[in-house]
This record gives sequence, structure tokens and C-alpha cells, in this order.
Amino acid sequence: MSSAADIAPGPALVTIDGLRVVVSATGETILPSVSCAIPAGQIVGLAGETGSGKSTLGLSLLGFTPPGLRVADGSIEVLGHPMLTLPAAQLRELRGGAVSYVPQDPAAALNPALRVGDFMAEVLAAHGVSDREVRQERIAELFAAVGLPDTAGFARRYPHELSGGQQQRVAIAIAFALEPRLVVMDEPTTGLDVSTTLAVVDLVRRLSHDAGASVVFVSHDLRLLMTFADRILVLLQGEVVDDVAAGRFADEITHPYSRRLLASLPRTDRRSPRVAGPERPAIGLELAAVSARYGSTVVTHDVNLRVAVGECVALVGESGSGKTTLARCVAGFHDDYDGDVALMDKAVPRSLTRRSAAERATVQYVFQNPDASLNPRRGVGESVALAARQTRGLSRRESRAEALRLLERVGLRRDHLGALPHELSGGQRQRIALARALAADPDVLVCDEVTSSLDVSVQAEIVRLLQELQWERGLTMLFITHDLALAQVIAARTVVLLHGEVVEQGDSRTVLHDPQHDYTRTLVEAARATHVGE
Amino acid sequence: MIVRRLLAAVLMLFVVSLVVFVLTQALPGDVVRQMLGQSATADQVARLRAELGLDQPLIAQYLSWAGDLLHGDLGVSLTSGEQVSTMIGSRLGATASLVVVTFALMVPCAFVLGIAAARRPGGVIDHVVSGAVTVILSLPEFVVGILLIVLLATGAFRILPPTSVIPAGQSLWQHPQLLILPVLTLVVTALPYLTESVKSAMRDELGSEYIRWARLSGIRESRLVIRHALRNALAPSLQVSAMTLTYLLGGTVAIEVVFNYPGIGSALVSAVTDRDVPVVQGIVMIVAAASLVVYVVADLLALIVTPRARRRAQ
Amino acid sequence: MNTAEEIDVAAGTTARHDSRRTSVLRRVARDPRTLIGALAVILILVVVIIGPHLAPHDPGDFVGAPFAAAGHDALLGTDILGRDVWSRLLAGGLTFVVQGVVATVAGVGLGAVLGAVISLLSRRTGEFLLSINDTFIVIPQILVSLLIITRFGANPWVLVSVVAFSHIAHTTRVVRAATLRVVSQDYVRAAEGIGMSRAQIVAKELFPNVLPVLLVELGIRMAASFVLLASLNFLGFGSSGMEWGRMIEENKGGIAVQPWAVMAPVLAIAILLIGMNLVRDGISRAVSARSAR
Repeated sequence: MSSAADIAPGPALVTIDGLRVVVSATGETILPSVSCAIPAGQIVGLAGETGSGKSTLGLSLLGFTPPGLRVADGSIEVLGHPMLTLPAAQLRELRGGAVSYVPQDPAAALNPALRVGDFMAEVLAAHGVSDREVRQERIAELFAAVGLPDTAGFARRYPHELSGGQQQRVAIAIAFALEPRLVVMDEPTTGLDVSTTLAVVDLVRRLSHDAGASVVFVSHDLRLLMTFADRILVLLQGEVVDDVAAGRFADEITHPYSRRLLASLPRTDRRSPRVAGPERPAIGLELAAVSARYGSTVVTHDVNLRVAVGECVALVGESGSGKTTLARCVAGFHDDYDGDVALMDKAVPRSLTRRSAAERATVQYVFQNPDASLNPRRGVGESVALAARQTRGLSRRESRAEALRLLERVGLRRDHLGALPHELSGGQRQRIALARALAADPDVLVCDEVTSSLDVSVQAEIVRLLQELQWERGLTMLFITHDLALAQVIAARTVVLLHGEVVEQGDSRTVLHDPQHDYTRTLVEAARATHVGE
Repeated sequence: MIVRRLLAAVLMLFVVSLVVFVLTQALPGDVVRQMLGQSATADQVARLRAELGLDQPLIAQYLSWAGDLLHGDLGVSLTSGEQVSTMIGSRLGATASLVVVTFALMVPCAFVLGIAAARRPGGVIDHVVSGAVTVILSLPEFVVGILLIVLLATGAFRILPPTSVIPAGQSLWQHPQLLILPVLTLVVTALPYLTESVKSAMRDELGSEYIRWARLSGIRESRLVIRHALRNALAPSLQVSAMTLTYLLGGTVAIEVVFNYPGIGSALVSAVTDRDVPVVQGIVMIVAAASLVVYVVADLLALIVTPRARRRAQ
Repeated sequence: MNTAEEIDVAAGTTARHDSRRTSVLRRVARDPRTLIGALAVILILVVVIIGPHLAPHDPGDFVGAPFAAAGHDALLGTDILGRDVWSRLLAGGLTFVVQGVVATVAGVGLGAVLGAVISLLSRRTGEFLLSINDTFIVIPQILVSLLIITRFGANPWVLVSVVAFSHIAHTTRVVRAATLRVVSQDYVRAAEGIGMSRAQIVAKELFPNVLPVLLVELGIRMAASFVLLASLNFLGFGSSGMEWGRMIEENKGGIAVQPWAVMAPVLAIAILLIGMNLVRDGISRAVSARSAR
């Protein structure tokens, strides 16, 4: 890992002085007054959660203010140019040239109607590379540099014909096309798998080193920044609360918010969660030779899995591995499969409609996205109460009391009872979804990527809450995640799924520390590289 | 994919012919008595029934009717005794001119105005377009037609002829000024909607991530609009244009009546009033088929300009 | 557990949610364009409902020479047969408005049922039926209407059915899409998971979430009803012989001499439709402003 000490900090490449950005319509402050400097040749991480203003700050380095916002005060100097007052023509020359940008979601940021090679050629042409041949050569060179096929055929592809990782590599190639001095990357690894993220980060480090460019890497992923950035700026509500060397992050941070962010990270050296003792051998959940299909496509192959009563097992895999499909088979939402599912030692029918009321209540499901899992037109308290009435036959009054009890248990207040889902934050909605699942008094809880749509600090709280509830209620839990480190925090055992097959399973610590399968090893490397505390 | 769309169009055409047939001939109740009126004698009724083939079983009736249709034989008008195809043929040109001239004027205007409005959200053009949509989109074509007559022909300014009656034996093109008011009416009714559609398609594209990125990569604004945004806004805009064209085909009916314009729309209305079933069938089939063709062509054009859909189609 | 901050953030929102039901209404009422629209619609409705009792003459009486200019006896002059335009304007709106409203409710209702049923069928069947349905969206509505009128004549029931029929295809498509969107949401899975029955899910999960779409559709179709009905009346297919559209058609020939015989009903229709459009736009602005918050 490179640290600030390895590279002598050069003169400031970027100087931001008293930058104040507000919402044009309401005057609401986005960035109150930011001052900071970015030295040449460094990778600077801009860390913060949703709404911290980190993207706005990142974009301001290109002299760009998102529509609806307005710079009220301050100045930004990049390479000696006053970015806020620069004439349009000069700004255009800088953008994509000396100062370039890598967007958050390349799938949305690549024009669907343009071949990727054509767009690259256009950017080159816009910056004075007028010879067609030279452009072609340069494009092939760039593709090779970012690890893409440098053939003409590849350049002729449309964005939708590339994978997410390839799209992001194209974006990076374009950003480094014209020997930039500064590259602003706006959450460039969101939505990528762990192993792809790591490869992308590696590439960024290499390219910026070769080009001697500074990189401003905007990310909510603190642990990722800690592995490869030189400095980290922590942003809270538009203010830089800490500006420290990445290698000494833990020692140098002073602001309580930064400490809290650090503490929220799942640590791989934590003591393992409770293992089901030998005194409780009963089976809570069992999958026997489950092969799930969508029409003629088979997505899982003879998956066998046992979870003891009161045990938590993590099902880990990347997108498309079939982990969510398996979870839906357990819950009865997906009934197109061979094999058997048993809950609390009893085989259950495949389809939810064929399961008895008691069988339905036995297993409850917490969905990935709480925005879609709560009826938008029903008060959240009523959602919880309804679940209690339906599954346990409580009266209206009893169910309301139960809803209140559960709401308070998951950390909400009495006056949230009447709120509609859109009036709550994402974390609060996920708490409600959890309360609704608990209202059925289930024995088995299936959690499908329940933290992946939440900010880091909220994620940690939800995981802690889940651990407490599992322990209190002796829940049998199937925890679906793409994150091995998170699996290790919450689950005693981990099962790794690849292309619908179980490739490895065992004690979470053993899987993490002594992986057997090649695929698990890449996952572990990814997790190790991006986690603290090893 | 393309084959599937063509099959769907053929299915739609079949549905239309079935609907036309069922609604005019196959329903219970005696069509002939309706056509001839209550005073007709039993003999007259029987004769007309045989003439129309109404004594045959329904399926045979449909097959023979549809077969004739495919050969371009639309039957004989009950009121004039003329062949329906010759009767419609002479008027088809007038209606087609009206629709084509309107469309050719309207589409470029809609794109220019729509793009201009999208580039400056909240600007003058944007407000004018939204205002026009609110006011005009809600009005029937004939109301707009009457208001324009009062404004430009009989009331405030008397610069245009209020009706489009062509002197006998002359063609429409000898009197191009007769086209102005009908065309203007159709443009005024349909332009705001098309412009608004182009505007919102363009605004979606101009606000997209890929435009932001291209801008942050130093691409010129004019290129952003034409080469980047319009390329993606083209498919939805084409589809709306096609919808507008079919809307014009329906809209001409009332417009032709307003201006006494000698097209198939006014012929259709007189035929409906006279219960001249073969003429109604013929005109409805022709206009419906034209609408379907427009719809399919627009669909295919949209397919061609969208790389993603195009690849999937192959 | 560290939730104190999160809850503090939400404290402001909880105080707000009591007023959420009124907030849309209040926003609508504050928007001058919407208010003008509402006043226009109310004005026309008042004319339509109490008009027939206020008419100074019987709408069928001859009160003067044909196309006589406005005078003390005929406020807006006379029509082609010498009848009082003002009295006919007051008398002619009721049939028009009642037929339009009945046709809209019937057509949108039928379309909603069809759309919901099609959305429950298998994907293949649904798409096949939808492509047949689309035929009626592609071909101009007025053709189908005229076809039916050729066959059955223009009596009130035929007119209402024809206009109702013109809505079915569109509403079916819109409601099917909305239903499928709701059905795919996880909260419907969650409802199945707690053992709610099919009927309960339809009533408590699907219906409330499809309803807003249906109401928007009702607004759009109401205006479309009046447009089609007025056009048919104008083309000479009316049931009472004195609808506004019919008045326009009858007096069109005298537009140069006695413009009021034509302009009065034209303006009545225009004010009603523009007013409805202003109100609808205002409501959708208010709703989208709320959801954007």
C-alpha cells in the first residue's frame, strides 16, 4: 500500500477556498464553507455518507455545479485556473483534458446510442487530436492499458454489450486519455462486485502513478479508501471534519463522526458470533438437493444446506450466483424448483399458496430494498399490526399494542406509528420491515442483502440489531450477502455459492482464513484487501 | 422481432376487418330495414338482402367481403350506385394532401421548438409550449377550426376563404389557398402535443448522466444536443410522430366537415348519415389500414435508431 | 445502539404527516392557474344545471328572423331558424355533460376491470390480448364510433356506449401496466408471506396503489369524452337535437352574419375543456411536488 510518505507532496494542484454551495430555489446549504488543498500526484479519498455533499464537492473541481444548485461564495483554483470564472471555451478545453471525470454509474453515463470507440474518438477530437489514424491508435493503446481487448471489434461495441466492469474500464480509459493532471472519480465502484472493484482500484492506482496525476476518489466506502488512497477527507454535512493520511487514519482522526464511521466497519478480527451448541441439534431450515429454475434456465444445482435452530448461516455469492433465488424458495415466493425445503424439521410445500397459515408464519423474509417492501399507502405501524393480526390472530387492539412494542424494540418511537414509508429514512424503513417480519413471531428469518441499500453507519446499526434479535428470540437465520466480512460478523457458518453451486462451506472464520476453493480465495483476497483489522 | 411486429400488424388488420364486418353486417337486427327505412316493402328488402349476400351464412359473408376487399373491390354505394372505390378514389387524394402537407409542416416545427424548449427549461419557448398544450390539447379540432374561421376569414381579419369548396371539374392544386385554413387548423391542434413530446424526450436525455459526462469530457454543447441527446430522443419522438399522424387521419373527419373540404372524411360523414354501409366500410377500412401502416413503420424506424433494440431484434 | 441521530432527523417528518392528506389540496388551492380552471368548470356546470330553468324562451320557439343580431329580445341573437341562441345555449348543455360523464365512468370502469383481469393472466396470453386491444388505440376512435352509429343510429344509449367504448382500450392498457408494476413489488410478496388471501391482497395491497393511476386516467378520459361527444354532435349525430356541438353545425353557414350563434356554444365547450385541463394539470403538479419532497 502506498502511503503519503512514499510520494513527496508536491505543490498544491487544487486550492479550494471558502466554497459555499446552496440550493438555488431555497437557499438551503449543501456545502457551508469548504477550504482544502490537494497536492499533485496523490490519491485523495473523499469519504462521506448520502447527503454529505461529497459529489457536489467533487464536481466543483471541474467547474461544474449540478442543476438546481448555485455557488454562493468562494473560489476553486485548479492548475492555476479559476474554475468558477473561467470562460466556457477554456473550461471545455480543461474538462476531459487536464481535468477529467469518471462517473458513478457507467451503465447510465455511456451514451446507449454511441459505440464506445466513437465516444472515445470524439473526446480525443474535442481536444485537438484531429488525425483519425492517431485517434485509432491512441484508443487501442488506452484499451490495452486498462486491460480491455484492443481490437477494432471491441471499440465498435455499444455500451450495453459490455459488462459492468468493462464499462467502468472504458470510463477510466477515457478519463486518462489526454494525460490528465487531475481525475475526479465519483463513486466509481458502486454496483461492481467485490473482485471487480478491487481490480478497478488497482488500475486507478497504476494509471495515476504512471501519469503522475492526482485522483480525487469520492466514495462512501471508507474501508476501500483506506486500502489505496494517500489522504482521506471526511465530509459531514458539507464540512471537511478530518483531513488525514490514509495509512494513519485510525490514529489521526479527531472528529467523533470519523470515529463512528470507523467503528461501523465490519471487522474481520472480531470474535465470531455464537455457534449453535451441541445441545440444540434440531434443524431449523434445510434445503435438500434444491435445483431452482426460471423457465428452462436452471439457476441453482442440487444445493444442500442445513441450518440448526438458533443458528445463523450466511449465504455468500456475487450477483447472479442464485443466492436470492434460494432464499425465495425457502420463503415460498419461488416455487419452480426440484428438491425439498424443510422448516423446523418439517417439509413444506413449494408454493406459498399451498402452505398452511402456520407454515407461512414460520418463515419471514426481510427484503433488500425497504422502499419496495412496504406498502407506500399504509401507515408503517399498521403494516406491522396487520402482520401480527394475520399470522397470530390478534385483535385490532392487541395487534396495535404489539406493533408499538416491536417498533420500540427496533429503535423507533411511538409517533412513528402513523407515518407513511416515504416519510422515514432508509434505515428506519428497514427497521420497520424487520418489525413486520417479527410480528409474525417466526422461527426462521431470511434476510436478503438487507443492508446493501443503506449507508455504512446505518448498516452497522441494522446488523447489530439483527444480532440482538436473533439472540433474544433464538431465531434461525439465513443471511444473504455478497460481503464475506459481513458474513463473518453475523454468521457462525458461511456457505459460498458460485453459479448456483455450493463451492465451499464451513465455519465462517475458517472460510475466511483458510479458503479451499479458488473462487473463495479471490473473494477472501478482496475482503482482506478492503478490510481493516487483519 | 421484425417478423413478429409485422405479424402483429396483420393480426390487427384482421381484427379491424372483423370489427367492421361484425358491427355493420353480422349483428342481430335487420341492417337492410335500417338502411331502407320503415316504409320499404318486403319485396324491396328481400331484393337488397340478396344483392348484399345477406342470405348467406355469416362466415361465407365475411369471407366473400374480405376477399373482395383484398382485390380492391369495395362494393357499390347504396345511394349513388357508383363503385365505392372510384367514389373514394377521387377524394382520397384531397385528404392525403391535407394530411401530408400538415405533417410535413408540423414535424420540423415540433423538433425545432421542442429542442429549443428543452435546452432552456423555464424559458419563453418552454412556457409557450406548455401553455399551448394546456389550452389547445383539450379542444376538439372543429372548435379550433371555427375559432380560426372567425379570426381569419369572417371576423377580425378577412384574408382567407372560410370554406374549401372546389369548383366542379377543377383540382385542389389549382386552388392551393383552400388548403391553408384546414392545414392551419390541423397544425394548431396537433403541434403542441408533438412539440411537448419532443421537448420532454429531449429534456430527459439532456438531463441524463451520459450528457453530464460528455459535457465534463469537454464536448461542445451543440454536439451534445444533436449527436448525443437527439439520437436517443429520436425513437420516442418518432413514435409520437406516428401517433400524431394517425390522430390527423381521425381529425380530418371533423375538419373536412367544418370547411366543406372534398375529402373522404366528409364523404364518410354523409355515408353514415345516409346509412350507406359499403361506403362506410370502405372508408373505415382504408383509414384503419393506413393508421396501422403508419404505426408499424414508426415502430420499425424506432427499432432502427435504437442500437439496443436493434441488436435484440437480430 | 446508536439510533438517536436517525430518529432526530425524522422528528420533523412525523409532525408533518398528520397534515399530509390536506397538503395536496392546499397546494392545489394556492395555484392561481388551477383556481381559474376550477372556476371555469364550476361556471359551466352551473350554466348546465340551472340553465334550463333560466332560459327566457322555450329553446324550440321562433323569436325572430333567422340570424338576427343580438337585441333586447334575444341576448345573443337568433339562430338559423330564428330561435333564441341564449335560451338554446342554456338548455343544450345538460344532455351533453350527463352523457359525457356517464360514458367516462362506464368506459373507464370497464377498462379497469379488463386491465386488471388481463394482468392476472399469463404473460403470453396477456400480451396477445393486449395486441388486439392496441388495435383500438392505433385506429382513430372516431371511425369506430361512426361505424357503430351507422349500424344503430344516434340515440342516447348508442352515443354513451360509443364514447364509453372509445376509452376501454386505453384504460385497459394503463391499468394493466399499473397493476403489473404493483404486483411485482416486494410488499405484495410480504403480504403473501403473512398469509393474506388473494382477495385481501387485491383489496388492500393492489387496489389502493393502482387507484391513483386510475383517477388520473379518469381525468384524462373525461376530457376525451367531451371532445369525442362534441365532435359527434357537431357531425350531426346527437340525441336531443340541441347539443352545443349540434348548434355549431346548424349555424355554421351564418358565421359571417351572426357569429354568436356559433361562438356561444364554441366558447362554452372551450371553457369547460380548458378549465378541466387546468385543474388536472394543477393536481398532477401538486402530487408530483409532494412526492418529490
